[in-house]
Amino acid sequence: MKKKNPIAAFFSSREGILAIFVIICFAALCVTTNMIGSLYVFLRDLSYLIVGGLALMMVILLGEIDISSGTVLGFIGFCSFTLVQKGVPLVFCILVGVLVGMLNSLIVGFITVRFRVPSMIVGLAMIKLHIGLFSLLPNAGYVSNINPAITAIGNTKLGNVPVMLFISVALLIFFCWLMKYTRYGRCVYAVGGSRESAVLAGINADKVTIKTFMVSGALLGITATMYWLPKSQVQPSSCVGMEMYFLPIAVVGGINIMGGSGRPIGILVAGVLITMLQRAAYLLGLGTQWMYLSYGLIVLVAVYSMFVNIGRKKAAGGENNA
Amino acid sequence: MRKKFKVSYELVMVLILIAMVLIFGVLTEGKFLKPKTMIGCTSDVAYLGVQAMAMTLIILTSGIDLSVSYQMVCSGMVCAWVYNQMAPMGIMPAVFLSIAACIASGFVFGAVNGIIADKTPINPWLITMSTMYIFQAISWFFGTSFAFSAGNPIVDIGNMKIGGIVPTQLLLLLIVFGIFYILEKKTTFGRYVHAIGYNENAVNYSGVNAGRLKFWVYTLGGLLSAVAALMYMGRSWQINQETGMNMNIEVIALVVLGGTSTAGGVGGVTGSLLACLIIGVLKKGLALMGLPGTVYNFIVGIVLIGSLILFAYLQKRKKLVSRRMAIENMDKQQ
Repeated sequence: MKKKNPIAAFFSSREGILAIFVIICFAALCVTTNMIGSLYVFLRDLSYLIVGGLALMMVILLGEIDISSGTVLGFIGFCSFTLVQKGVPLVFCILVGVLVGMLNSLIVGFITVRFRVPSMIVGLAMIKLHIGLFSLLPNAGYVSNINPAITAIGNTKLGNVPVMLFISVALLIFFCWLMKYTRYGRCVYAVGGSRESAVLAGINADKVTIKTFMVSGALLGITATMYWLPKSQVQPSSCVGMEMYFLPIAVVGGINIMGGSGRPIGILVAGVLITMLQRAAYLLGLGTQWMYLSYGLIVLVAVYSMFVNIGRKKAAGGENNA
Repeated sequence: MRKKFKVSYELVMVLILIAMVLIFGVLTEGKFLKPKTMIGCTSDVAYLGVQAMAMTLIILTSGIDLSVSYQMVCSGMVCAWVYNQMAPMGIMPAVFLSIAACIASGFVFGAVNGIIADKTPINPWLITMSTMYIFQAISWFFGTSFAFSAGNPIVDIGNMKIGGIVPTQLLLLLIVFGIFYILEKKTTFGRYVHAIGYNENAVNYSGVNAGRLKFWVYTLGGLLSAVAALMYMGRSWQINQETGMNMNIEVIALVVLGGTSTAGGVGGVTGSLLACLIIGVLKKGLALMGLPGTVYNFIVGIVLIGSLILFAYLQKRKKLVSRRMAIENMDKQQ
C-alpha cells in the first residue's frame, strides 16, 4: 500500500477538518474584532486549557470521567500558593501542587477501581467535599499578597507568546509520544476499548486505571499552577464549574467518551476552538450565558456526531464482512 | 442451613434517624427535641426530597440527571415572571396561571432531556450535564443575578401550617412520596423502571419500548423540579441564579444515601424519603449547634463517599454469598 502524504492525511482526518474550521473562524475574529491586540491573553488561556484538556483526555480514554477536575484546581491553588506566600521556592510549591492533584485523583481512581462505583458519582461527591473544604480553609481559601516577582514569572513572554505556552506544547508533544509509542499508552487504549479483552490479554487493568488517574492528577496540578500563576491572587470558589472548560476540549478533540479512541493532537485543535469561543464572547461583549449555552450545545453535538460516526463505521464493517 | 437474622436497609435508616435526633437533642441541650423544631426541620429539605423522588426513578434506570437544579431555577423564574405580568389582571388568575406556567415549563425542560435520552445513545450524565449548562444559560437570559420573587399567595401557602402543626412543605413531600411509592411498587411502570436498570436490552427484547419509558422518567424529573421550585419560592420568597449552584449534588446525595444503587435496578423511593429526613435533621442540628452552613457541605461530601463505598462493599459481599450458596446447592445435588 502506498503511504499517504502525512499533511494530506492530517487534513482529511477529523482533527484536520476541525483545524480548517478553526483557522477560518480565527481569521474571521481577527478581521472583525480586536483579536490581535489581545493575542497574549488568548495564548495564556490556551496554555492552561490545553493541559487541562490533556488531563481529562487521559481519564476519558479509559471510559471514565473526573468531574471534580474543576474544583480541585482551587484546592491545589490554595495549597501551593500559601507556600509561595510563605517564601518557599516556586519549584517546590509547584511540586506540592502536583502531589495534591495526584492525591485527589488517586482517591477518585481508587474508589472507582476498588469498589466499582461509577467515577462520575465519585466525582460529584468530591465536588461537594471540595466546596465544603474551601469554606473551612483559613480566609475561605483566598490567598492574596503574592510576591509580584512570582506573578511576573507567570507573565513572562517572548514577543506576544507567553512562555507557559511552550511548556504546554512540550507536554502535548510528550503525550503524543507517550500514547503512541510506549507500552503504557497502548495499554490505556486497550483498557479503554475493552476492559475484559485487555484483562484477558494479560494487562493489569486496575493498575493501568489508577496510574492513569494519577497522571491526570499531576496534569491538573500543572494546570492549576498555570491558571493561578499569572494572577495576583487565588480565589478557590471561582473554580466551581471549570470542568466544563476542559470537558468540551476533550470531547470536541475527538476523544471517544466511551473510551479507547482519540489522539492527543485533537486536544490542541479543540483547545484553540474553546479558547477562541471564550475570547469571542468577551470581545463581542456577550455575557457568560452565551459561553455556557455554546458549551452545552457543543458537547451534545460533538458526542452525538461521534456516536453517528461509530455507528456508520460499524455498519460499513459489517457490509465488508458479508 | 443457618437461619440468618435479616435486617432491611430501611430499618437501619430509621434507627440512624432516631439516633441522630437523640444525639442532636443531647448536643443542643434539648432544644432540638421540641416538636416544633423537629417538624420544622423537614421544610428545609422538603424541596430536595421532592426532586429526589424523581431522581430515584432516574437512577433506577441506571441514568442520572445533573440538570435538576437549573430546571428548578428556570421554572421558578418562569413562574415569577408570569405572576408579575398577570398581577394587574387580578390575584387569583395570576396565581393559577403562574403555577400552570411553572409546571408546564418544568414539563418542557424534562422532556428535552427525555427526548435526547430516548433518541440518542449518549450517556445520561453527559446529556444532562450539557443541558444543565444550557438551562443555566437560559436562567441567565431571564435575569442576570436578579432575585425573582414569587407572588404573596404562593409564599403564604408555602409558609402555611395546616392545623398549626403540619407545614404544607411536609404535606406536599408526603403526597409526592405517596404517588411515587405507588408508581414504583404497584404499577408495571415501576417494574419496568427497575428492569431497565438491570438490563435494558432484555426489556427491549421483551417487547417494551425502553426509550419511551426513559422519556417519561426524565419528564417526571422536570415536572417535580417545577413543583420543587414552587415549594422553594414558597419557603424563601425568591429564587435566583445562585440557588441552583451544586444543588444537583445534594439531590443525588439523598438518593445514594437512600440505598439506590448507581448501577441501576436496586433501591426505592422509601430510602430516599428517609435519607431526606436524615439530611434535614443533620442540617438543622448543625445550625442549632451554631456551626456555619458550609460545614454541612463538607459533611455531606464525606457521608456521600462513605455510603458509596459501603453500598458497593455490601453488594459485592451479597454476590459472593449467593455464589457460595449456589455452589453448596450444586454439591448437595451431586
